[in-house]
Amino acid sequence: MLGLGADRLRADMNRLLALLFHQGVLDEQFLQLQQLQDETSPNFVSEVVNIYFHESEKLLRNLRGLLMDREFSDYKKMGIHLNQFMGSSSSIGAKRVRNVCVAFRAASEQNNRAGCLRALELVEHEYCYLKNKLHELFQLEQQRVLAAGVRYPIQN
Amino acid sequence: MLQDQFSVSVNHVHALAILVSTFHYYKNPSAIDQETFAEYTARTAFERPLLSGVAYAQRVANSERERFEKQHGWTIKTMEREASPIRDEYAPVIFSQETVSYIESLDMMSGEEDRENILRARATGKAVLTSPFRLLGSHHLGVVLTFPVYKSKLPPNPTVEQRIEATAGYLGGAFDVESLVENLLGQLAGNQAILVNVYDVTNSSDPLVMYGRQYQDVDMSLLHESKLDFGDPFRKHQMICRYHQKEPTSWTSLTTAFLFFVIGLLVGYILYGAAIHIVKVEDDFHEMQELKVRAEAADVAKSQFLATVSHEIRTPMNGILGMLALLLDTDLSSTQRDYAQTAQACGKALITLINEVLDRAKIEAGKLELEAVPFYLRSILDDVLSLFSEKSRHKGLELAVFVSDKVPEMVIGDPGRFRQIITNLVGNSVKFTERGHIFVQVHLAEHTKALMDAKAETCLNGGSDEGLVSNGGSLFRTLSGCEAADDRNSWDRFEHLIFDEDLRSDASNIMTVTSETPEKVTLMVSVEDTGIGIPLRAQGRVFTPFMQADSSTSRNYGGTGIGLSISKCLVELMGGQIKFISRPQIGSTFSFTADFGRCKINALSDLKKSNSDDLPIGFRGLKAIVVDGRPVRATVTKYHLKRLGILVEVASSIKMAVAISGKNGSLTSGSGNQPDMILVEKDSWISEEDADLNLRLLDWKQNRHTLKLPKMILLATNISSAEFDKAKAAGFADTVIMKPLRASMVAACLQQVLGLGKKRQQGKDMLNGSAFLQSLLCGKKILVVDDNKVNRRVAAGALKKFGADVECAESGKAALQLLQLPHNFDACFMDIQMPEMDGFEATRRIRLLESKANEQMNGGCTPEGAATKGEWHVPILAMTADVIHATYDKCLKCGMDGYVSKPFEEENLYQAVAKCFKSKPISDS
Repeated sequence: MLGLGADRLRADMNRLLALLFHQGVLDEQFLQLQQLQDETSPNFVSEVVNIYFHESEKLLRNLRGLLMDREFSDYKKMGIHLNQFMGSSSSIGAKRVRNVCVAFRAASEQNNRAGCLRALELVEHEYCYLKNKLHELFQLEQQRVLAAGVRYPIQN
Repeated sequence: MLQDQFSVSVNHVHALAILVSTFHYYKNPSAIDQETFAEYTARTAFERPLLSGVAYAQRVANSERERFEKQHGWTIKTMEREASPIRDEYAPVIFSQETVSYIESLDMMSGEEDRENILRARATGKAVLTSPFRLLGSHHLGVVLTFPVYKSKLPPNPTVEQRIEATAGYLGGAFDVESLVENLLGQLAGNQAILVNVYDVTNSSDPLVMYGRQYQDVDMSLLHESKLDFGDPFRKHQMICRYHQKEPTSWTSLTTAFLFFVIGLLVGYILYGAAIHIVKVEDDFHEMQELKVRAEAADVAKSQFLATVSHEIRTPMNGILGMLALLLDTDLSSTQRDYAQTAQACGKALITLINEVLDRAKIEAGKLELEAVPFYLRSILDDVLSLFSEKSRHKGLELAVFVSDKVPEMVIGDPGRFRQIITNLVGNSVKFTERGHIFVQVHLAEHTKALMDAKAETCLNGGSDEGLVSNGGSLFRTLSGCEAADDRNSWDRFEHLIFDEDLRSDASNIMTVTSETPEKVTLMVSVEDTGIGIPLRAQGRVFTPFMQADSSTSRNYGGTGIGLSISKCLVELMGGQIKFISRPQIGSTFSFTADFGRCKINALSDLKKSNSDDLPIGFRGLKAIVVDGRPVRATVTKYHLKRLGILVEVASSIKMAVAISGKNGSLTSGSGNQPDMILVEKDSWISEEDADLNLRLLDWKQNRHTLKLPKMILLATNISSAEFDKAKAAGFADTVIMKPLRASMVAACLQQVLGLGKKRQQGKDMLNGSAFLQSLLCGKKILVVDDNKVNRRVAAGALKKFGADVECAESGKAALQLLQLPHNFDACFMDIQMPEMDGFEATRRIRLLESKANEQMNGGCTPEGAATKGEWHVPILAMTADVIHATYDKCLKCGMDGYVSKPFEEENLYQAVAKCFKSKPISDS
C-alpha cells in the first residue's frame, strides 16, 4: 500500500511537471538538471533550486530598491542584476521568469520606469508562482522518497 | 481633238486656196468654174469636218465691177441681198460649195466681220478668223476663216503692200461652231449633258461666246478650261467644259464611297479592337505580374510560416517527448507502457517530420546554407550503416558500404547534410526491402563515367567468364545474389571498377606527387537495394514532396514522402544531381553526384590529430584471407580490412584459402607470410559444410610447424544460436562478426580476438555519449568561473556527474588567483559576462601569465611539478548564453579554446570537451 503511495506520488509529480511544462513555466533545462541528480548527489536539484531562490530573492529585493528610489534609478545596475537573474533562471529552466526578465531588461535599457515597474510586478508574480510550484514538487519528491524508503525493508 | 480637226480643216482650206490660185489664175483660161469647185469641195468635204462650207470670193475693184458683172451675168450684192452700193473694191463670191450656195454673188466685203477678215488675211497671207457672229443662212454662231489667194507668185519675203497688190481673191470657210461642236460632243460625252463653252478671249476682259450659252446656275466648280489654238495668232480661244446640270449622283461612286466607308469602319474597328486587346493584354500582364509577386510573396510567407510554425511546434514537442520519457521511467502496467511507448514513437515521428518540413521550408526560403568543413567520408558512411544495422540485421538484409580507394580520406563539405541524404536513401531502401541487400557505393564521378565506356566494351566482348556465374550458387552476381535494378553494380562492372582502380592507383600516385590535384572532387554515390521497387507510373513523381508511390505505401510503410524531395534539394545544393533506376519487384538504385572540396595535405594532418575518427593502427601489416564465394561481398570485406591496414587475399572457398596459405608457407618458411586471420562468410561456410574444418586446421598446423594458428572468424548477417553453437564447434571459436561491417566495429572485434591494445581501444569504441565524456573528464580538476551562484552550481553539478573534480570561483579575479602558476587545473570553464572582470579579460590575463612562465621555462630553469613537457596552457572554455558566431570568434581571439552553451547540454559539452582534451593523449603518446 505504501509502495502504491509512492507510485501515486510519482505520478502526481509527473503530472505537476507536465503542467508546468505545459504552462511554459519550466523548459527542458529543468529536465537536464534532474538528470544531473544521481546517487552521488541525491539532493542536487533542490540544492540548486534553493540557491536559486536565495539569489533571486536578493536580486528582486535589489531591483525593487533600485526602482523605488524615486529620484534616480540606476538602470545600469538594474541591467546587471537582470542579467544575473536571467542567467540563473535559464540555468534551472525557469522559462517564464526568464522571458519576463527579457522584457524587464528591455524596459530598463529604455529607461522606461513605468515599464520596469510593471515588469517587476510580473517577475515577482511569476517568481512566486514558480516558487510555490517547485516547493510543491519538492514536497512530493520528499514524500515519495520517504514512501519509497519505507518500501525498501519490505522488499528486501 | 477639236483643235486637231480644226487645224486639218484650216490646212485643207489653205490647200483649196492654193488650188484656186493655181487653177483659176495661173491657168488661162481658168480650169475651175462654179461647177468644178462645187463638185470638188463637196467631194473633199470630209477633209474639213468643222467647216459647213467653203466659198471663193474674187477681188474686184470698183473699176472692174461692170466688166465683172457683165462677165458673170449678175450684180454684186451685199449681205442683205441688195445691190451693192459703190465701194472701192468688192469681194463677190464666185465659187461656192453647195452647202453655202446662197452666198454666191454676195460681196464679202460688205459684212463687217468679213471685211475686216479679208483685209487682215490679205495683209498677213495667213488664215484669219473672224470673231464669232451669226452666220448667214443658219442663225448659228460661226466663225469665218479666210485665206487670201494671190494671183501671182510672191517674192520670198513679201511686204504688206506686195501682198495686197497680189491678192486675187479670198477663200473663206464658215465654221458653224455650234452644230459641229454639238455633233462632236455628242460622240464624246455620250448621254452626259456636258456643257461646252468656247470663248473668244482676244479681249480677255470681255470674252465673246463662240459656242454655248451662259448658264448662271451651273456648277462652276467642276469645269475644265483649255486653250484652243486655231492657227490664228491674233485670236485666242478658250474652251470651258462643265456639266450641264449639277453633278448627278453616281451610284457606283456612292456605293464605292459607302464601301470604302464600311471598310474604313471595319478597319477602324479592327484597329480599335486590336488596341483594346493590347491594352487588355497589357493590363492582364500587369495583373499577372502583380499576382506573381503576390504568389511569390505568399510562397515565401508560406515557407517562413512553415519554418516558424515547425520551430514553434518543436519546442512543445520536446516537452511532450521529455514528459513521455519521464512517464516511461515510472512504473507502468504493460498496457500503459505500450500506450506511452506508442505515443513516444509517434511523437518522435512527428518531430522527424517537423524537422523535415523545416528543412524543406528552409531550403525553399533559401535559408539553408551548406557548411564547408573537412570530414571523414568513410566514417560518415559507417555511422549511417550503424544506424540501420539493427533493422537490416532484423530483416536479414545484407547492408554494405564500399568506398573506392580513389576517393580521398577527407573531403570538405557539409557532413550533416551528406549524412542526411545517405540516411534518407538507405532508410528508404531498408524500409522497402524485405530480402537481398542494400549496397552503398562511393566512387569518383569521372571514374564511373570512364567505366561506362569500358562497360560497353565488355558487352561487346561478351561475357567471357560466364562459367563463374553459378559459382556462389547465385543467379546474379550482386552483393546478395539477388537481382538488382541497375545491373551496373553487378560484379562484371564492379570488377572493372576495382581492377581499373588498382591499375590506376600507381599512376595516380605519381600524378599526385607531380601535379596539383584539382580543388574539387565530384563523388558519385549510389544506393542499391533489392526491394519492392517503384511502380513505373509513380516513378515520375518520386521527387515531388509528399508524393508516395501510392496511398497504400504510407499505410504499409509509413513515412511522408518528403525525404526524397529534401535529398534532391540538398544534392542540388551540393552541385550534383540525383537520379534512380527502378524495376518493380526487383529493386531500385538511387545514385547522386555531389561536389566536395579537396582537403589540403597539411590541413588533413592537422585534423587527423583531433578528429575522433581515425582507426586504430595496431593492425597494420597483418594478413588475412577472406573466404567468400561472392566477389562483390568479398570486395566489401576487403575494403573494410584494408582500411585497418590489413593485407587481404580473397579465396572463393575454404579449400582455396588453405591452399593459398599453404603455398605461401611452403615458399617462405617461418611465420612471415602466414595469415593472421581467416574470415569466412557464413554462406560459404554453410554451403561447403566443411565438417572436417578442424581436421584441416590440424593438418595445417602440422604442416606449418607453427604454434600460432590463424584466427578463424565468421562473418554473418544474422545468426541463430543453434548456428552459433555449430560454428563454435566447427572451429570458429574465435569470434563472429555481425554484419553490416564497419571498420571501427571490425577493429573492435579483431582487438578482442587478437588481444592487442585492449584498454585504449575500449575508450575509443565508446565514442558516443556520456560514457565517453566520463572517461574524458574523470579525475580531471576543473575550475568553473561564474558570478552567478546558480549557474556555478549547475555547471559544477554537471561536470561532477562525469567524474570531474570541480572547484569554483565567483569572479575573474578569484580565478586569476587560483590559476597562479603552478597550478594543477586541467581545464577552466569561464563565464563571459561577469562584473568587474569579464571572461575575455580574465582569459587574456591568464594567457599573459602563462606566456611569461613559458618564457622563463625556456630560459633555463625548469619548474618542477606539472607540465614536464610542453608549455603552460590551460584549456579555457567559454560559457555563454548566446552562441552566435561573433561571440565564438571573440572567444578564440582572446585565447579561449572553445565554448559551451549555457545552460549546459550534454552533447554540446561533450563536443567542446572532446575537442580540447583530445589532443592531449595523442601528444602524450
